[in-house]
Amino acid sequence: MDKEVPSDPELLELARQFDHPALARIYDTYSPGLYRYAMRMMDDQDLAEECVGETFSRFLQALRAKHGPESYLQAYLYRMAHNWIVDHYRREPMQPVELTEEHHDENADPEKDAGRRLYQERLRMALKKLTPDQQKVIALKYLEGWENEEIARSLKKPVGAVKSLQHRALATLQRILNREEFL
Amino acid sequence: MKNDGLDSKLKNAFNDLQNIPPRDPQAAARGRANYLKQAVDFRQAVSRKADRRHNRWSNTIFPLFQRKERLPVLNTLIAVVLAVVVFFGGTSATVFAAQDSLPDQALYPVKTWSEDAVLSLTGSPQMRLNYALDFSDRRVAEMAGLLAAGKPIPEEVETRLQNELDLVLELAAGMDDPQAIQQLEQIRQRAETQMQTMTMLLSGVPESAEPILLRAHARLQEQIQLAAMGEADLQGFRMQIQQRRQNQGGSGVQTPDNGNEPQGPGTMSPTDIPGPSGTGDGPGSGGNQPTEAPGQEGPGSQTTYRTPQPGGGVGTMSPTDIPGPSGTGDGPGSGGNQPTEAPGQEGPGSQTPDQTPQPGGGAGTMSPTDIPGPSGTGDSPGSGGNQPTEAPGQDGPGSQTPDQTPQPGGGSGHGP
Repeated sequence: MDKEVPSDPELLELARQFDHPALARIYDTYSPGLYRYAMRMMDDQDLAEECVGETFSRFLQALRAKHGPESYLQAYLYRMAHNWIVDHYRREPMQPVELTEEHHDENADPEKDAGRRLYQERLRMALKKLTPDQQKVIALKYLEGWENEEIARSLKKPVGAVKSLQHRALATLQRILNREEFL
Repeated sequence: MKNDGLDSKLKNAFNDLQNIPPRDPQAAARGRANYLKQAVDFRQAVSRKADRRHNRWSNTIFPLFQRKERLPVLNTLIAVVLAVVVFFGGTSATVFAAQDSLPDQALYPVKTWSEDAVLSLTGSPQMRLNYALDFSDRRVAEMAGLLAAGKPIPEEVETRLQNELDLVLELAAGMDDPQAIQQLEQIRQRAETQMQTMTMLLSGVPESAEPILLRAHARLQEQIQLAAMGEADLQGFRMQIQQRRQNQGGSGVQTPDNGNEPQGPGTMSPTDIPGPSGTGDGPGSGGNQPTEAPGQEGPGSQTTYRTPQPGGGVGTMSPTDIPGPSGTGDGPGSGGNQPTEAPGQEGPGSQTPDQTPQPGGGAGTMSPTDIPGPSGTGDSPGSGGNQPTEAPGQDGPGSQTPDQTPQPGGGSGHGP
Protein backbone atom coordinates (compact mmCIF):
# COMPACT_ATOMS: atom_id res chain seq x y z
CA MET A 1 0.00 0.00 0.00
CA ASP A 2 1.29 3.43 -0.81
CA LYS A 3 1.30 5.70 2.16
CA GLU A 4 0.74 9.36 1.57
CA VAL A 5 4.12 10.99 1.80
CA PRO A 6 3.95 14.09 3.96
CA SER A 7 3.75 17.21 1.89
CA ASP A 8 7.22 18.23 0.98
CA PRO A 9 7.16 21.85 -0.11
CA GLU A 10 10.92 21.93 -0.32
CA LEU A 11 10.99 19.03 -2.77
CA LEU A 12 8.29 20.65 -4.85
CA GLU A 13 10.08 23.97 -4.74
CA LEU A 14 13.21 22.31 -6.10
CA ALA A 15 11.11 20.53 -8.71
CA ARG A 16 9.72 23.88 -9.86
CA GLN A 17 13.28 24.95 -10.55
CA PHE A 18 13.72 21.74 -12.53
CA ASP A 19 16.28 20.50 -10.06
CA HIS A 20 17.22 17.09 -11.40
CA PRO A 21 17.85 15.20 -8.18
CA ALA A 22 14.50 16.40 -6.85
CA LEU A 23 12.68 15.42 -10.03
CA ALA A 24 14.39 12.05 -10.09
CA ARG A 25 13.47 11.46 -6.46
CA ILE A 26 9.85 12.25 -7.18
CA TYR A 27 9.83 9.82 -10.07
CA ASP A 28 11.54 7.06 -8.12
CA THR A 29 9.16 7.53 -5.20
CA TYR A 30 5.85 7.60 -7.03
CA SER A 31 6.24 5.83 -10.36
CA PRO A 32 6.06 2.25 -8.95
CA GLY A 33 2.76 2.99 -7.18
CA LEU A 34 1.33 4.76 -10.19
CA TYR A 35 2.28 1.83 -12.37
CA ARG A 36 0.56 -0.63 -10.05
CA TYR A 37 -2.51 1.60 -9.96
CA ALA A 38 -2.67 1.79 -13.75
CA MET A 39 -2.13 -1.95 -14.07
CA ARG A 40 -4.98 -2.69 -11.69
CA MET A 41 -7.25 -0.39 -13.58
CA MET A 42 -6.24 -1.38 -17.09
CA ASP A 43 -4.55 -4.77 -16.88
CA ASP A 44 -2.18 -3.90 -19.68
CA GLN A 45 1.54 -3.37 -19.10
CA ASP A 46 2.08 -1.14 -22.11
CA LEU A 47 -0.88 1.03 -21.25
CA ALA A 48 0.23 1.21 -17.64
CA GLU A 49 3.70 2.39 -18.70
CA GLU A 50 2.09 4.90 -21.03
CA CYS A 51 -0.08 6.13 -18.20
CA VAL A 52 2.93 6.62 -15.92
CA GLY A 53 4.89 8.36 -18.66
CA GLU A 54 2.01 10.69 -19.51
CA THR A 55 1.35 11.45 -15.87
CA PHE A 56 4.92 12.55 -15.25
CA SER A 57 5.04 14.40 -18.55
CA ARG A 58 1.95 16.38 -17.56
CA PHE A 59 3.50 17.00 -14.19
CA LEU A 60 6.57 18.53 -15.85
CA GLN A 61 4.38 20.58 -18.17
CA ALA A 62 2.45 21.87 -15.20
CA LEU A 63 5.69 22.84 -13.47
CA ARG A 64 6.86 24.64 -16.57
CA ALA A 65 3.59 26.55 -16.73
CA LYS A 66 4.12 27.53 -13.07
CA HIS A 67 1.20 25.36 -12.04
CA GLY A 68 1.28 21.99 -10.40
CA PRO A 69 0.66 20.97 -6.84
CA GLU A 70 1.41 23.16 -3.88
CA SER A 71 1.57 20.11 -1.65
CA TYR A 72 0.30 16.52 -1.54
CA LEU A 73 2.21 15.45 -4.56
CA GLN A 74 0.99 11.87 -4.35
CA ALA A 75 -2.65 12.91 -4.44
CA TYR A 76 -1.92 15.17 -7.40
CA LEU A 77 -0.10 12.47 -9.39
CA TYR A 78 -2.80 9.85 -8.80
CA ARG A 79 -5.44 12.34 -9.87
CA MET A 80 -3.53 12.95 -13.10
CA ALA A 81 -3.05 9.23 -13.68
CA HIS A 82 -6.71 8.53 -13.09
CA ASN A 83 -7.77 11.31 -15.44
CA TRP A 84 -5.54 9.83 -18.10
CA ILE A 85 -7.11 6.41 -17.63
CA VAL A 86 -10.63 7.84 -17.85
CA ASP A 87 -9.69 9.82 -20.97
CA HIS A 88 -8.15 6.73 -22.48
CA TYR A 89 -11.32 4.69 -22.08
CA ARG A 90 -13.37 7.52 -23.47
CA ARG A 91 -11.21 7.48 -26.58
CA GLU A 92 -10.86 3.73 -26.83
CA PRO A 93 -13.60 1.71 -25.20
CA MET A 94 -12.42 -1.36 -23.37
CA GLN A 95 -11.99 -4.45 -25.50
CA PRO A 96 -13.07 -7.83 -24.17
CA VAL A 97 -10.10 -9.93 -23.09
CA GLU A 98 -9.64 -13.37 -24.54
CA LEU A 99 -8.21 -16.18 -22.49
CA THR A 100 -4.87 -17.08 -24.04
CA GLU A 101 -2.08 -19.55 -23.42
CA GLU A 102 -0.47 -17.21 -20.94
CA HIS A 103 -3.49 -17.60 -18.74
CA HIS A 104 -3.06 -21.34 -18.73
CA ASP A 105 -1.81 -22.94 -15.53
CA GLU A 106 -1.65 -26.71 -15.32
CA ASN A 107 -2.16 -26.75 -11.57
CA ALA A 108 -5.13 -24.48 -11.63
CA ASP A 109 -8.72 -25.38 -12.10
CA PRO A 110 -9.36 -24.01 -15.58
CA GLU A 111 -13.04 -23.54 -15.04
CA LYS A 112 -12.57 -21.74 -11.75
CA ASP A 113 -9.69 -19.69 -13.12
CA ALA A 114 -11.68 -18.65 -16.15
CA GLY A 115 -14.59 -17.73 -13.91
CA ARG A 116 -12.37 -15.58 -11.71
CA ARG A 117 -10.77 -13.80 -14.65
CA LEU A 118 -14.16 -13.22 -16.15
CA TYR A 119 -15.39 -11.71 -12.93
CA GLN A 120 -12.28 -9.51 -12.72
CA GLU A 121 -12.92 -8.21 -16.19
CA ARG A 122 -16.57 -7.60 -15.37
CA LEU A 123 -15.49 -5.72 -12.29
CA ARG A 124 -13.10 -3.57 -14.31
CA MET A 125 -15.82 -2.86 -16.85
CA ALA A 126 -18.30 -2.12 -14.09
CA LEU A 127 -15.81 0.31 -12.56
CA LYS A 128 -15.70 2.18 -15.85
CA LYS A 129 -19.45 2.72 -15.62
CA LEU A 130 -19.12 4.64 -12.37
CA THR A 131 -18.64 8.39 -12.35
CA PRO A 132 -14.98 9.44 -12.42
CA ASP A 133 -15.04 10.42 -8.74
CA GLN A 134 -16.71 7.16 -7.74
CA GLN A 135 -14.13 5.21 -9.75
CA LYS A 136 -11.35 7.07 -8.05
CA VAL A 137 -12.74 6.47 -4.58
CA ILE A 138 -13.20 2.75 -5.17
CA ALA A 139 -9.81 2.31 -6.82
CA LEU A 140 -7.90 4.26 -4.21
CA LYS A 141 -9.69 2.67 -1.28
CA TYR A 142 -10.07 -0.96 -2.34
CA LEU A 143 -7.18 -1.37 -4.74
CA GLU A 144 -4.59 1.01 -3.33
CA GLY A 145 -5.65 0.84 0.30
CA TRP A 146 -5.72 4.58 0.94
CA GLU A 147 -7.39 6.13 3.97
CA ASN A 148 -10.42 8.34 3.47
CA GLU A 149 -8.42 11.45 4.42
CA GLU A 150 -5.87 10.74 1.70
CA ILE A 151 -8.60 10.14 -0.86
CA ALA A 152 -10.27 13.37 0.21
CA ARG A 153 -7.06 15.26 -0.49
CA SER A 154 -6.72 13.64 -3.90
CA LEU A 155 -10.31 14.47 -4.82
CA LYS A 156 -10.18 17.86 -3.13
CA LYS A 157 -13.41 16.99 -1.31
CA PRO A 158 -14.34 16.71 2.36
CA VAL A 159 -14.04 13.31 4.02
CA GLY A 160 -17.83 13.12 4.43
CA ALA A 161 -18.29 13.54 0.71
CA VAL A 162 -15.77 10.78 0.07
CA LYS A 163 -17.69 8.41 2.34
CA SER A 164 -20.89 9.27 0.58
CA LEU A 165 -19.28 8.71 -2.82
CA GLN A 166 -17.92 5.40 -1.64
CA HIS A 167 -21.31 4.24 -0.41
CA ARG A 168 -23.05 5.14 -3.66
CA ALA A 169 -20.25 3.70 -5.75
CA LEU A 170 -20.39 0.32 -4.00
CA ALA A 171 -24.16 0.17 -4.36
CA THR A 172 -23.91 0.99 -8.06
CA LEU A 173 -21.13 -1.50 -8.55
CA GLN A 174 -23.11 -4.29 -6.91
CA ARG A 175 -26.14 -3.42 -8.97
CA ILE A 176 -24.18 -3.50 -12.24
CA LEU A 177 -22.52 -6.80 -11.40
CA ASN A 178 -25.75 -8.43 -10.26
CA ARG A 179 -27.57 -7.26 -13.36
CA GLU A 180 -24.85 -8.60 -15.63
CA GLU A 181 -24.91 -11.87 -13.77
CA PHE A 182 -28.45 -12.45 -14.94
CA LEU A 183 -27.83 -11.42 -18.53
CA MET B 1 -7.22 -3.16 2.37
CA LYS B 2 -10.51 -1.81 3.57
CA ASN B 3 -13.20 -4.33 2.81
CA ASP B 4 -15.93 -3.01 5.00
CA GLY B 5 -19.33 -3.20 3.43
CA LEU B 6 -18.28 -5.58 0.67
CA ASP B 7 -19.69 -8.96 -0.12
CA SER B 8 -17.17 -11.75 -0.25
CA LYS B 9 -17.20 -12.18 -4.02
CA LEU B 10 -16.47 -8.51 -4.59
CA LYS B 11 -13.85 -8.57 -1.86
CA ASN B 12 -12.10 -11.48 -3.57
CA ALA B 13 -12.29 -9.76 -6.92
CA PHE B 14 -10.65 -6.64 -5.47
CA ASN B 15 -7.98 -8.83 -3.90
CA ASP B 16 -7.36 -10.50 -7.25
CA LEU B 17 -7.07 -7.16 -8.94
CA GLN B 18 -4.36 -6.16 -6.50
CA ASN B 19 -2.08 -8.91 -7.77
CA ILE B 20 -0.25 -7.65 -10.78
CA PRO B 21 2.76 -9.03 -12.64
CA PRO B 22 6.10 -7.38 -11.86
CA ARG B 23 7.02 -4.32 -13.87
CA ASP B 24 9.42 -4.76 -16.77
CA PRO B 25 12.66 -3.14 -15.52
CA GLN B 26 13.72 -2.10 -19.01
CA ALA B 27 10.43 -0.38 -19.69
CA ALA B 28 10.67 1.30 -16.31
CA ALA B 29 14.21 2.49 -17.04
CA ARG B 30 13.15 3.81 -20.44
CA GLY B 31 10.27 5.70 -18.86
CA ARG B 32 12.57 7.23 -16.27
CA ALA B 33 15.13 8.26 -18.87
CA ASN B 34 12.44 9.86 -21.04
CA TYR B 35 11.11 11.76 -18.06
CA LEU B 36 14.55 13.06 -17.13
CA LYS B 37 15.26 14.04 -20.71
CA GLN B 38 12.03 15.98 -20.83
CA ALA B 39 13.03 17.65 -17.59
CA VAL B 40 16.35 18.68 -19.13
CA ASP B 41 14.56 20.10 -22.17
CA PHE B 42 12.12 22.02 -20.02
CA ARG B 43 14.92 23.27 -17.82
CA GLN B 44 16.55 24.77 -20.90
CA ALA B 45 13.34 26.42 -21.96
CA VAL B 46 12.75 27.83 -18.51
CA SER B 47 16.22 29.22 -18.18
CA ARG B 48 16.18 30.95 -21.51
CA LYS B 49 16.73 34.64 -21.13
CA ALA B 50 13.67 36.78 -21.43
CA ASP B 51 15.24 38.96 -24.08
CA ARG B 52 15.74 35.89 -26.23
CA ARG B 53 12.09 34.94 -26.29
CA HIS B 54 10.19 35.80 -29.39
CA ASN B 55 7.36 37.46 -27.60
CA ARG B 56 7.47 40.89 -29.07
CA TRP B 57 7.73 40.18 -32.73
CA SER B 58 4.05 40.65 -33.37
CA ASN B 59 4.17 44.12 -31.85
CA THR B 60 7.07 45.03 -34.06
CA ILE B 61 6.03 43.52 -37.35
CA PHE B 62 2.27 43.82 -37.51
CA PRO B 63 2.01 47.60 -37.25
CA LEU B 64 3.95 47.82 -40.51
CA PHE B 65 1.02 46.20 -42.28
CA GLN B 66 -1.71 48.06 -40.54
CA ARG B 67 -1.31 51.30 -42.43
CA LYS B 68 -4.07 52.22 -44.80
CA GLU B 69 -1.65 53.47 -47.39
CA ARG B 70 1.60 51.70 -47.81
CA LEU B 71 4.69 53.61 -48.70
CA PRO B 72 6.16 52.63 -52.08
CA VAL B 73 9.42 51.76 -50.41
CA LEU B 74 7.53 49.43 -48.14
CA ASN B 75 6.13 47.58 -51.15
CA THR B 76 9.62 47.11 -52.46
CA LEU B 77 10.76 45.96 -49.06
CA ILE B 78 7.95 43.44 -48.89
CA ALA B 79 8.82 42.15 -52.34
CA VAL B 80 12.44 41.69 -51.33
CA VAL B 81 11.49 40.01 -48.10
CA LEU B 82 9.11 37.69 -49.92
CA ALA B 83 11.78 36.81 -52.45
CA VAL B 84 14.23 36.03 -49.69
CA VAL B 85 11.63 33.97 -47.88
CA VAL B 86 10.80 32.02 -51.03
CA PHE B 87 14.46 31.52 -51.83
CA PHE B 88 15.66 30.60 -48.41
CA GLY B 89 12.41 29.26 -47.06
CA GLY B 90 13.33 25.67 -47.62
CA THR B 91 16.70 26.13 -45.97
CA SER B 92 15.15 27.91 -43.03
CA ALA B 93 12.63 25.16 -42.54
CA THR B 94 15.38 22.57 -42.61
CA VAL B 95 17.45 24.50 -40.11
CA PHE B 96 14.41 24.92 -37.90
CA ALA B 97 13.56 21.26 -38.11
CA ALA B 98 17.14 20.34 -37.28
CA GLN B 99 17.14 22.08 -33.93
CA ASP B 100 15.72 19.11 -32.07
CA SER B 101 17.83 16.52 -33.83
CA LEU B 102 20.23 14.22 -32.06
CA PRO B 103 23.78 13.43 -33.16
CA ASP B 104 22.73 10.15 -34.73
CA GLN B 105 20.21 11.85 -36.99
CA ALA B 106 20.68 13.14 -40.48
CA LEU B 107 19.83 16.74 -39.62
CA TYR B 108 22.33 17.02 -36.79
CA PRO B 109 25.09 18.50 -38.98
CA VAL B 110 22.59 21.20 -39.97
CA LYS B 111 21.98 21.90 -36.33
CA THR B 112 25.66 22.24 -35.50
CA TRP B 113 26.26 24.26 -38.62
CA SER B 114 23.51 26.67 -37.68
CA GLU B 115 24.94 26.99 -34.17
CA ASP B 116 28.36 27.79 -35.54
CA ALA B 117 26.82 30.29 -37.91
CA VAL B 118 24.97 31.96 -35.07
CA LEU B 119 28.12 32.22 -33.01
CA SER B 120 30.11 33.55 -35.94
CA LEU B 121 27.53 36.13 -36.95
CA THR B 122 26.74 37.41 -33.49
CA GLY B 123 28.82 40.43 -32.66
CA SER B 124 27.82 41.16 -29.10
CA PRO B 125 29.94 39.20 -26.63
CA GLN B 126 27.00 39.11 -24.26
CA MET B 127 24.76 37.50 -26.88
CA ARG B 128 27.48 35.10 -27.96
CA LEU B 129 27.93 34.05 -24.37
CA ASN B 130 24.19 33.48 -23.98
CA TYR B 131 24.11 31.45 -27.17
CA ALA B 132 27.11 29.38 -26.16
CA LEU B 133 25.54 28.67 -22.77
CA ASP B 134 22.35 27.56 -24.45
CA PHE B 135 24.28 25.40 -26.87
CA SER B 136 26.12 23.76 -24.01
CA ASP B 137 22.73 22.98 -22.46
CA ARG B 138 21.82 21.38 -25.76
CA ARG B 139 24.88 19.18 -25.64
CA VAL B 140 23.92 17.92 -22.20
CA ALA B 141 20.35 17.35 -23.40
CA GLU B 142 21.69 15.48 -26.42
CA MET B 143 23.69 13.19 -24.15
CA ALA B 144 20.55 12.54 -22.10
CA GLY B 145 18.53 11.94 -25.24
CA LEU B 146 21.01 9.48 -26.67
CA LEU B 147 21.20 7.59 -23.40
CA ALA B 148 17.41 7.51 -23.19
CA ALA B 149 17.33 6.00 -26.65
CA GLY B 150 20.02 3.49 -25.71
CA LYS B 151 22.42 4.91 -28.28
CA PRO B 152 26.14 5.65 -27.94
CA ILE B 153 27.31 9.21 -27.38
CA PRO B 154 29.67 10.35 -30.14
CA GLU B 155 32.80 12.11 -28.95
CA GLU B 156 31.84 15.07 -31.09
CA VAL B 157 29.17 15.96 -28.58
CA GLU B 158 31.63 16.03 -25.73
CA THR B 159 34.14 17.98 -27.79
CA ARG B 160 31.57 20.58 -28.71
CA LEU B 161 30.52 20.86 -25.09
CA GLN B 162 34.12 21.47 -24.04
CA ASN B 163 34.57 24.08 -26.74
CA GLU B 164 31.41 25.87 -25.72
CA LEU B 165 32.48 25.85 -22.10
CA ASP B 166 35.84 27.28 -23.11
CA LEU B 167 34.19 29.94 -25.21
CA VAL B 168 31.96 31.29 -22.46
CA LEU B 169 34.95 31.62 -20.15
CA GLU B 170 36.88 33.53 -22.76
CA LEU B 171 33.99 35.82 -23.50
CA ALA B 172 33.46 36.53 -19.82
CA ALA B 173 37.17 37.27 -19.40
CA GLY B 174 36.94 39.89 -22.12
CA MET B 175 34.09 41.82 -20.51
CA ASP B 176 34.40 44.74 -18.16
CA ASP B 177 34.58 43.93 -14.48
CA PRO B 178 30.95 44.20 -13.30
CA GLN B 179 29.62 42.45 -16.37
CA ALA B 180 32.26 39.76 -16.19
CA ILE B 181 31.43 38.95 -12.58
CA GLN B 182 27.74 38.81 -13.42
CA GLN B 183 28.38 36.50 -16.33
CA LEU B 184 30.72 34.29 -14.35
CA GLU B 185 27.98 33.76 -11.82
CA GLN B 186 25.64 32.76 -14.62
CA ILE B 187 28.28 30.46 -16.10
CA ARG B 188 28.85 28.82 -12.75
CA GLN B 189 25.15 28.30 -12.12
CA ARG B 190 24.59 26.80 -15.54
CA ALA B 191 27.58 24.51 -15.13
CA GLU B 192 26.27 23.42 -11.74
CA THR B 193 22.93 22.52 -13.28
CA GLN B 194 24.62 20.71 -16.13
CA MET B 195 26.79 18.82 -13.70
CA GLN B 196 23.72 17.78 -11.73
CA THR B 197 22.28 16.41 -14.93
CA MET B 198 25.54 14.68 -15.73
CA THR B 199 25.57 13.12 -12.28
CA MET B 200 22.05 11.85 -12.85
CA LEU B 201 23.00 10.45 -16.22
CA LEU B 202 25.99 8.68 -14.73
CA SER B 203 23.77 6.62 -12.51
CA GLY B 204 22.92 3.50 -14.41
CA VAL B 205 24.76 4.54 -17.52
CA PRO B 206 26.00 1.78 -19.84
CA GLU B 207 29.72 1.11 -19.52
CA SER B 208 30.41 2.22 -23.06
CA ALA B 209 29.09 5.72 -22.41
CA GLU B 210 30.71 6.16 -19.03
CA PRO B 211 34.12 7.50 -20.13
CA ILE B 212 32.59 10.34 -22.12
CA LEU B 213 30.22 11.27 -19.33
CA LEU B 214 33.03 11.16 -16.80
CA ARG B 215 35.15 13.48 -18.92
CA ALA B 216 32.25 15.86 -19.40
CA HIS B 217 31.57 15.73 -15.68
CA ALA B 218 35.20 16.52 -14.89
CA ARG B 219 35.20 19.40 -17.34
CA LEU B 220 32.04 20.84 -15.83
CA GLN B 221 33.61 20.59 -12.41
CA GLU B 222 36.57 22.53 -13.72
CA GLN B 223 34.21 25.07 -15.25
CA ILE B 224 32.56 25.65 -11.90
CA GLN B 225 35.91 26.07 -10.20
CA LEU B 226 37.15 28.52 -12.83
CA ALA B 227 33.99 30.59 -12.73
CA ALA B 228 34.04 30.66 -8.94
CA MET B 229 37.67 31.69 -9.02
CA GLY B 230 36.81 34.47 -11.45
CA GLU B 231 34.08 35.75 -9.17
CA ALA B 232 36.65 35.98 -6.37
CA ASP B 233 39.69 37.13 -8.32
CA LEU B 234 38.88 38.50 -11.71
CA GLN B 235 42.44 39.43 -12.63
CA GLY B 236 43.77 36.02 -11.77
CA PHE B 237 40.97 34.49 -13.77
CA ARG B 238 41.81 36.59 -16.80
CA MET B 239 45.44 35.56 -16.62
CA GLN B 240 44.47 31.97 -16.42
CA ILE B 241 42.14 32.26 -19.37
CA GLN B 242 44.87 33.99 -21.32
CA GLN B 243 47.20 31.14 -20.61
CA ARG B 244 44.57 28.64 -21.59
CA ARG B 245 44.16 30.50 -24.84
CA GLN B 246 47.89 30.34 -25.47
CA ASN B 247 47.86 26.66 -24.69
CA GLN B 248 45.13 26.09 -27.16
CA GLY B 249 46.77 27.97 -29.95
CA GLY B 250 45.28 31.38 -29.50
CA SER B 251 41.75 31.66 -30.54
CA GLY B 252 40.08 29.78 -27.83
CA VAL B 253 37.07 29.51 -30.03
CA GLN B 254 37.24 26.12 -31.48
CA THR B 255 35.72 25.32 -34.74
CA PRO B 256 33.30 22.48 -34.80
CA ASP B 257 35.39 20.60 -37.24
CA ASN B 258 37.84 19.49 -34.66
CA GLY B 259 35.17 16.98 -33.79
CA ASN B 260 36.70 13.74 -32.80
CA GLU B 261 40.08 14.95 -31.78
CA PRO B 262 40.84 14.74 -28.14
CA GLN B 263 40.95 18.24 -26.87
CA GLY B 264 40.89 18.62 -23.21
CA PRO B 265 41.81 21.88 -21.70
CA GLY B 266 45.32 22.65 -22.57
CA THR B 267 45.74 19.99 -25.13
CA MET B 268 47.22 20.69 -28.43
CA SER B 269 44.95 20.70 -31.32
CA PRO B 270 45.85 18.63 -34.31
CA THR B 271 46.91 21.72 -36.10
CA ASP B 272 49.38 22.79 -33.46
CA ILE B 273 52.78 22.92 -34.97
CA PRO B 274 55.40 21.36 -32.81
CA GLY B 275 58.70 22.95 -32.14
CA PRO B 276 61.74 21.81 -33.90
CA SER B 277 63.01 19.69 -31.08
CA GLY B 278 59.95 17.58 -30.65
CA THR B 279 56.38 17.84 -29.77
CA GLY B 280 54.19 17.51 -26.82
CA ASP B 281 53.82 20.38 -24.56
CA GLY B 282 51.49 18.68 -22.25
CA PRO B 283 49.69 15.50 -22.17
CA GLY B 284 46.69 15.32 -24.37
CA SER B 285 43.47 13.96 -23.24
CA GLY B 286 42.76 11.02 -25.39
CA GLY B 287 39.63 9.10 -25.96
CA ASN B 288 38.62 5.75 -24.56
CA GLN B 289 40.69 6.08 -21.50
CA PRO B 290 40.53 3.58 -18.72
CA THR B 291 39.21 4.90 -15.50
CA GLU B 292 41.33 6.32 -12.81
CA ALA B 293 40.08 6.80 -9.37
CA PRO B 294 39.33 10.33 -8.28
CA GLY B 295 42.05 12.27 -6.61
CA GLN B 296 44.93 10.72 -8.33
CA GLU B 297 47.23 12.16 -10.79
CA GLY B 298 47.56 10.24 -13.92
CA PRO B 299 50.49 10.05 -16.12
CA GLY B 300 51.57 13.38 -17.21
CA SER B 301 49.26 15.41 -15.14
CA GLN B 302 50.26 18.85 -14.25
CA THR B 303 48.70 20.70 -11.45
CA THR B 304 47.40 24.19 -11.55
CA TYR B 305 49.80 27.08 -11.73
CA ARG B 306 52.65 24.94 -12.88
CA THR B 307 54.26 26.46 -15.83
CA PRO B 308 56.08 23.99 -17.94
CA GLN B 309 59.17 25.34 -19.49
CA PRO B 310 60.12 24.79 -23.04
CA GLY B 311 60.30 21.13 -23.54
CA GLY B 312 58.44 20.48 -20.35
CA GLY B 313 56.37 17.45 -20.44
CA VAL B 314 55.61 14.77 -18.09
CA GLY B 315 58.77 12.85 -17.92
CA THR B 316 60.29 11.60 -14.78
CA MET B 317 63.39 13.61 -15.23
CA SER B 318 64.74 15.21 -12.19
CA PRO B 319 65.76 18.85 -12.36
CA THR B 320 69.32 17.80 -12.82
CA ASP B 321 68.64 15.69 -15.80
CA ILE B 322 70.03 17.34 -18.83
CA PRO B 323 68.48 15.97 -21.88
CA GLY B 324 70.24 15.82 -25.09
CA PRO B 325 69.36 18.16 -27.84
CA SER B 326 67.45 15.50 -29.54
CA GLY B 327 64.72 15.88 -26.98
CA THR B 328 64.36 12.29 -26.15
CA GLY B 329 62.59 12.01 -22.88
CA ASP B 330 62.76 9.04 -20.67
CA GLY B 331 59.48 9.48 -18.93
CA PRO B 332 56.59 7.35 -19.70
CA GLY B 333 54.34 8.78 -22.31
CA SER B 334 50.71 8.91 -21.84
CA GLY B 335 50.17 6.15 -24.23
CA GLY B 336 47.38 3.85 -25.00
CA ASN B 337 45.70 1.29 -22.87
CA GLN B 338 47.30 2.17 -19.65
CA PRO B 339 46.37 0.27 -16.59
CA THR B 340 44.13 1.63 -13.92
CA GLU B 341 45.84 3.32 -11.09
CA ALA B 342 44.93 3.16 -7.50
CA PRO B 343 43.46 6.27 -5.91
CA GLY B 344 45.86 8.75 -4.47
CA GLN B 345 48.89 7.70 -6.34
CA GLU B 346 50.78 9.66 -8.81
CA GLY B 347 51.06 8.10 -12.14
CA PRO B 348 54.23 7.73 -13.97
CA GLY B 349 55.55 10.92 -15.22
CA SER B 350 53.66 13.16 -12.94
CA GLN B 351 55.45 16.35 -12.45
CA THR B 352 55.85 17.81 -9.05
CA PRO B 353 55.95 21.54 -8.67
CA ASP B 354 59.67 21.55 -8.03
CA GLN B 355 60.53 19.73 -11.14
CA THR B 356 61.43 21.80 -14.05
CA PRO B 357 61.72 19.71 -17.13
CA GLN B 358 64.29 20.94 -19.49
CA PRO B 359 63.98 21.11 -23.18
CA GLY B 360 63.38 17.77 -24.61
CA GLY B 361 62.54 16.11 -21.39
CA GLY B 362 59.37 14.45 -20.44
CA ALA B 363 56.71 12.60 -22.10
CA GLY B 364 54.91 14.25 -24.88
CA THR B 365 51.33 13.76 -25.48
CA MET B 366 51.27 13.77 -29.15
CA SER B 367 48.05 13.14 -30.77
CA PRO B 368 48.15 10.86 -33.72
CA THR B 369 48.18 13.78 -36.05
CA ASP B 370 50.79 15.81 -34.26
CA ILE B 371 53.90 16.05 -36.28
CA PRO B 372 56.98 15.61 -34.21
CA GLY B 373 59.98 17.73 -34.86
CA PRO B 374 62.91 16.24 -36.53
CA SER B 375 64.73 15.54 -33.33
CA GLY B 376 61.76 14.81 -31.17
CA THR B 377 62.07 11.13 -31.12
CA GLY B 378 60.77 9.00 -28.40
CA ASP B 379 59.16 5.75 -27.75
CA SER B 380 55.99 7.13 -26.49
CA PRO B 381 52.95 6.23 -28.42
CA GLY B 382 51.64 9.66 -27.67
CA SER B 383 48.18 10.42 -26.64
CA GLY B 384 45.05 9.95 -28.57
CA GLY B 385 44.92 6.27 -28.02
CA ASN B 386 43.07 4.43 -25.36
CA GLN B 387 44.21 6.40 -22.44
CA PRO B 388 43.00 6.13 -18.92
CA THR B 389 39.82 7.93 -18.21
CA GLU B 390 39.75 10.55 -15.61
CA ALA B 391 37.24 10.55 -12.93
CA PRO B 392 35.80 13.88 -11.83
CA GLY B 393 38.19 16.10 -10.02
CA GLN B 394 41.35 14.41 -10.95
CA ASP B 395 44.16 15.34 -13.12
CA GLY B 396 44.53 12.68 -15.67
CA PRO B 397 46.69 12.22 -18.58
CA GLY B 398 46.75 15.22 -20.62
CA SER B 399 44.80 17.44 -18.39
CA GLN B 400 46.37 20.76 -18.30
CA THR B 401 45.09 23.50 -16.15
CA PRO B 402 44.84 27.05 -17.23
CA ASP B 403 48.07 28.27 -15.74
CA GLN B 404 50.12 25.88 -17.66
CA THR B 405 52.00 27.33 -20.49
CA PRO B 406 53.28 24.62 -22.66
CA GLN B 407 56.08 25.54 -24.89
CA PRO B 408 57.20 23.88 -27.96
CA GLY B 409 60.21 21.76 -27.79
CA GLY B 410 59.19 19.01 -25.43
CA GLY B 411 60.36 15.66 -26.49
CA SER B 412 58.26 12.65 -26.41
CA GLY B 413 58.95 10.14 -23.74
CA HIS B 414 58.96 6.46 -23.54
CA GLY B 415 55.56 5.06 -23.26
CA PRO B 416 54.76 2.40 -20.79
